[in-house]
Amino acid sequence: ASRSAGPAHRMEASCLELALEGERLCKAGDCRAGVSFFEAAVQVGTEDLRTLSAIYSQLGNAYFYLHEYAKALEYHHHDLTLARTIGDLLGEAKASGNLGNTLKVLGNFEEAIVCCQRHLDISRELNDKVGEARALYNLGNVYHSKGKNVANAGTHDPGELPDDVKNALQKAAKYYEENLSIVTELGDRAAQGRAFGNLGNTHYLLGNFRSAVLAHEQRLLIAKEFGDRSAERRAYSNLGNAYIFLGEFETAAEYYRRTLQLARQLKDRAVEAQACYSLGNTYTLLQDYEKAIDYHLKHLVIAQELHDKIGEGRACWSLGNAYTALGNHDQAIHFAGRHLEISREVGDRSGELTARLNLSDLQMVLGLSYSTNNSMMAESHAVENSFNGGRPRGRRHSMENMELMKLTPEKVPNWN
Amino acid sequence: NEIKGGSMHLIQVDSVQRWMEDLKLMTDCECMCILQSKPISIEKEEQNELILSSQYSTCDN
Repeated sequence: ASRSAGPAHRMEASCLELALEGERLCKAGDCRAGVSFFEAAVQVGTEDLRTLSAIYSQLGNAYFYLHEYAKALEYHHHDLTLARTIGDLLGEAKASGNLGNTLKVLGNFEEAIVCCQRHLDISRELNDKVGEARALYNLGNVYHSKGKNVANAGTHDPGELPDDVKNALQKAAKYYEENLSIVTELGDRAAQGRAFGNLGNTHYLLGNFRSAVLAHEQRLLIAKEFGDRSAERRAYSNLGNAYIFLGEFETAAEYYRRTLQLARQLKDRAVEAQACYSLGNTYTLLQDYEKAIDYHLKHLVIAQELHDKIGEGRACWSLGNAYTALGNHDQAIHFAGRHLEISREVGDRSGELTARLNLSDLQMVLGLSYSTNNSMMAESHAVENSFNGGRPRGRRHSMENMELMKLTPEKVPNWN
Repeated sequence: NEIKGGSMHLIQVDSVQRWMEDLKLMTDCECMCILQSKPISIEKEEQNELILSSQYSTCDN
């Protein structure tokens, strides 16, 4: 501002200056500092409502980036109100999309849908193809999250998708496909990659495993085109999972091995652990127990390193079972015992029950007279009666069968 | 041996089955949030798309 400028002009300049500094800081990745400058700019105020709208929008995005979603909601809402006030239709579309994303993260799916739909309607009205594609992708994401959220709540039988989950996921697939046709037309390969990935995941959740494979193969191609190794890694693990449910375990193992290789290159220990666990289970399905043990041990080491108790418990359970399958009962008992300890530690009642049953099975096989056997079995019954999951019930039958087998005359020579 | 073939086989499928149940809902998603920005600096209309990747193994962060 020049010397002759009045105080108001100096204020104008300072609001803009503060906002520009906020923008620069956010671009440089320092959102925390950026937010301070934007907040200061808002305090100073400006007559220029377009600039103010941009400040609100960037504040909302910065808070979103900082995972402060309530604040993000507040500012995106201010932006939307202001854009409507000044009749800025494109600004209203953007604000609606940003607000929709924020509402989705907060789990408010219904309002998120309304906002994303508004983004879509305006984009179509303005014949803005890029905006339309983004709105479709966002809508797909809201429905995908909504479906997954209800499915995760797990109030249904395993393997049975409730209708509302199915409907949400089918809508998600529809929006991803519409997005895909526009971004293909626009020649936006990166956006195509994203759409294929999420479309593949949606088909997977719906149980359409063949369609999931087709989409993830496309995702993989585009990831390789861009040299995007994280995306490539994601495609491998998604493909591995889909092939498991197609019953093609060899193919699944191949994709999990590639997942593991890339996870190591990307130095992502958690993903590496997950890949080892998947490989251990896949080799169990292939009845190659030596390989299964090898991978479960690798998983165990990383789970311990990451202080992941649940993962550690899973690893011990799996190892106990694999050693049992090989007839290595000493190791089987060792890991079943660890499984029991860890299940107690994390308060996993069904894990505890499973481990107890496994231990008593193993002890019977070894013909050990287990001193606390009777009291332990009595306790198992008590645990089971208080346990509402269905899993151990199948195991009880096998236990009862074992009791019967033990009592058959051939097995007990001194039978009278 | 009879025992090993029967109940023992059931046991080791047990943990795999549990894994498969979890696997049914396990997806590695693409970024789930694409925010759009309104530039303040009057430069050329740059790429006004801000992509926020979601963390792996969840879709909604």
